[in-house]
This record gives sequence, structure tokens and C-alpha cells, in this order.
Amino acid sequence: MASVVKWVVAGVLAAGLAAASNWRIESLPEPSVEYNILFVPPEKLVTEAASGFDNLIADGLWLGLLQYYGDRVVSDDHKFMNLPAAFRLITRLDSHFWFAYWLGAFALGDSHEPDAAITMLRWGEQNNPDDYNYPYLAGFVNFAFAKDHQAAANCFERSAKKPNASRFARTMAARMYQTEGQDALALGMWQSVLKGAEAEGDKSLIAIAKRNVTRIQQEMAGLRKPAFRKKPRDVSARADMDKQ
Amino acid sequence: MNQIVAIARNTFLETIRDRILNAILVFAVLLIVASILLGQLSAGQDIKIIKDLGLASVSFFGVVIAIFVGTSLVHKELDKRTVFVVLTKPVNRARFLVGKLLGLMTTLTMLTILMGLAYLGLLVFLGVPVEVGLFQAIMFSWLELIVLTTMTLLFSTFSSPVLSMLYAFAMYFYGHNAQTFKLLAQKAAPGLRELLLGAYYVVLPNLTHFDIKNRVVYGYTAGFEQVGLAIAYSLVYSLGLFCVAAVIFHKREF
Repeated sequence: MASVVKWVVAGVLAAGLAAASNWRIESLPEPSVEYNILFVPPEKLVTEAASGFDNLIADGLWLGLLQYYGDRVVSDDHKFMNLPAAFRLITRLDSHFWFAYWLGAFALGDSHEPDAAITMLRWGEQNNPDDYNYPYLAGFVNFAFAKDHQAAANCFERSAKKPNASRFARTMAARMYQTEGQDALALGMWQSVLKGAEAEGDKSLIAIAKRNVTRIQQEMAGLRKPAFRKKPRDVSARADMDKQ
Repeated sequence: MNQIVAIARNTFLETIRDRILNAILVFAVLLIVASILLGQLSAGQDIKIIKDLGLASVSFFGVVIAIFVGTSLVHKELDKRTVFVVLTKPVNRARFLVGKLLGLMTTLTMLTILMGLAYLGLLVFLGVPVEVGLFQAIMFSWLELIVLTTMTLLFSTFSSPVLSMLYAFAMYFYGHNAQTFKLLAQKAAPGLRELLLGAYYVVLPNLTHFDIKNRVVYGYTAGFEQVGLAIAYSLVYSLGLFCVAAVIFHKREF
């Protein structure tokens, strides 16, 4: 009985000490934000060592990334460390993880890394060649974050050619060509939108497409001033991300 | 035949007594806790992650048990000298090994079925459609276990449990990266190196044939031919390993 009491006392003491040290550690000052870096293990090591558990590892990294990203967004501290590497590794491990691409496109675009987003989406397109969403999203990133309308138009056009593509892909491509001043391409695209809309019987889209076809034809004939024309941003320094 | 059944039955009961099946409890708790927590943490990706986690766990638990139990299968008998009691009777050494293998495979089959049922049951409970691919992924994991169990049995006929375990894990790791060796063989300059790398690729197990779990989550279903070939590869490769194990065990002096 006495030996049991000894063990109980020792156990209670140990638990007390553990609680005290835990309390002390928690009362230490928090590391400054600069040190709050998202840990991303080396891609080569992880992909080689995954041994068939690729999706599960991607899921684990995804959960860690979400907590990190959410923390930074909520705290209004938009200093993101290692986001491109994290999204890249997750999508390398699980190349069909659409939601990771989706969040990655917006998160990377928003943190001034649109080229990393485009590279990631290109990988997604390579691995999901029949899915129109990847080039569509790449078009959106080019348009909204990189302000590269030419590249955006190429992406939207590529998206429009995929099976079951969103009809907005063609519309967006047409509008991008229009803003770039590529009237012939824009006209062809709007005519294709019109044809599709007529086949579907979508009256509102037919009206929009007809209006744009007429407008471009008049612009090309010099009968009216070009609309939607934007002064293009200088994207010459940009890698040839989506021109091909 | 009766001898094999008796040895298999004994091995099966022995593993049950070792509370191997407690793994199912851990598996079920893991899945249930994950299903509760992931909804809040995964930004709507909980079903995908539960699918991944379930299939990975079925595979992981099976592999760990196959390797840990399989490597001590023969060694334990030798260590406790119980092998003499069996082999002094008119029992062929190869039959002894067959019995051991079947006993452990029965345990692993039961484990895989129960874990699979728990996993699919949870998916049904969560209202997730259960596709054929998920059944196939579980079946493929089981086929992989046949190869791994035979391999660990082979190692246990000539090596200590710790070394056998190391060999088995190395083979498991190699098996899931076999394509790298194929690539190396293709890229090597013609000659001995190319020949050796090619031989490694052919002789060592290619476990990627059994790995469809990453794809079935996205609706992939293996075709009839793929299923048939995976079954054939698993059985034929295991038979080859077993023959080597039988020869080594036959030659072994206690």
C-alpha cells in the first residue's frame, strides 16, 4: 500500500511540474510575425518518400497551409512566407486537388505572385487536360492580378476549347482580345459566342454578342471609336507564361 | 492439407491473442475523430480528406502489421523451440511455411475487411456515394499485403526480426519507387549498368501496381484487365518469393 502511495505522490508531483512548465512556456512572449514562416519540406524529398501516401501528405500540408493563411488574413498581416512553395508541393503531390489550385490562384495572385499561380495552374492543366477550369482560372489570374490581357485571352480561348467549357470562357476571351485591340480575333470570338448563344436560345447573350459584333465591325470600318481599349501594361519583362 | 490448416489456425489464433485486431479500434477512432474535426479545419474539403485518410490508413495498418508480425513469424518459433515440436512430426518444412503464411494472411484479410467496412460505413453515414473504385483500392491494398507478407516470411527464414523488418521496409519503399529504377535503367548508358538496373526493376517488387488509392478518390475505376493483372502479379510474385523462402528454410539447420 505504501509503495502505491509513493507512486501516486510521484505521479501528482510530475503532473504538477508538467503543468507549471507548460504554463511558463505559454507565458513566454510570442515570436514576432517575421518569424512566423510556413514550413514547407523539400519537394524532392517529400515526393520521393511519399510511397503511395501522396494524397494524404498533400492533405496534411493543406490543413497546415489553411491554418497559416487563415491566421495571416484574420490578423490583417498579409505577409505570407513560402506560399508558392506550399501550393506547389500540395499540387505536385495531389495534382487533381482542384480546391488547392483555386485557393492557390487567389492567394498567390493576391500576394503579388501571379506567375507562381500561373505555373501552378499550368501543371494542373497538364494533369487534368479535359478540365476547362484550369486555363479559365489562369485566364482570370492573368486578367485580374497580372493585368496581362493577351495572356488572359489565350488562356480563356484555350479553356473555351475544352469539353463542357463554361460559355463565359469564350466571352472573356472575346473581351480580352477587344481590350488588347486585336479586333479580328475579338470579332471571331464574339461571332462564335453568338453562334453558341443562338444554338442555346439564350436571348440575353445573343443581344450582347450581336451588339459586340456590330461594334467591332463598325470599329474596323472606322465608323466608330474603339471601345474597351485599355492602355496595355508593360508585361514584356514577364516570363512567357501563357503566350504559347 | 490438415497439417497446413492446423498450422494456419494456430498462427491465426496467435496473432489474435497478440491483440492485432485492436488496430481496427484505433482505425475507427481515427476516422471518426477526423470526420468531426476536419469539417472545421479543411475549408470544405473534409470528404476528400476522409476518403484519403481512410484508404491510406487501411493500407498503412495492413503494411505495418504484415511487416511487424511477418518478420517474427518464423523467428518466434525458432526462439521458443516450438518449431522442433512441429517439424519432428511428419510435417514438410514447406507446409509449415504455407501454414504460417495462410495464418497471417487470414488475420490480415480479416483486418482489411473490417477496416474497409468501418471506412465504407462511415462514408455511407456521411452521405458520400460509395464508388466501385473505393472497393478496388481496398482490394488492391490487400493484394499488396499478400506480396509483403510473403516477402517478410522470406526474410524471416534467414534473418533476425529487426533485420527482416529493415529489409521489408526497404523493399516497401523501393516497391513504391520502382518507376525510378525503370527510368534510371532507360537513361543508363548501354552496358552492365543498364542491365543491372533493368534486372533490379524486373526482379524486385513493383508495388505501384497496387497503388490506386490516390486516383479512386477522384472517381477512377480500374478496368477488368488492370484488376486481373494486379491479381496475377500479386499471386505469381508471391509464389516466386515463397519458393525462395521454402528453399532457404529447407536448407536451414537449426
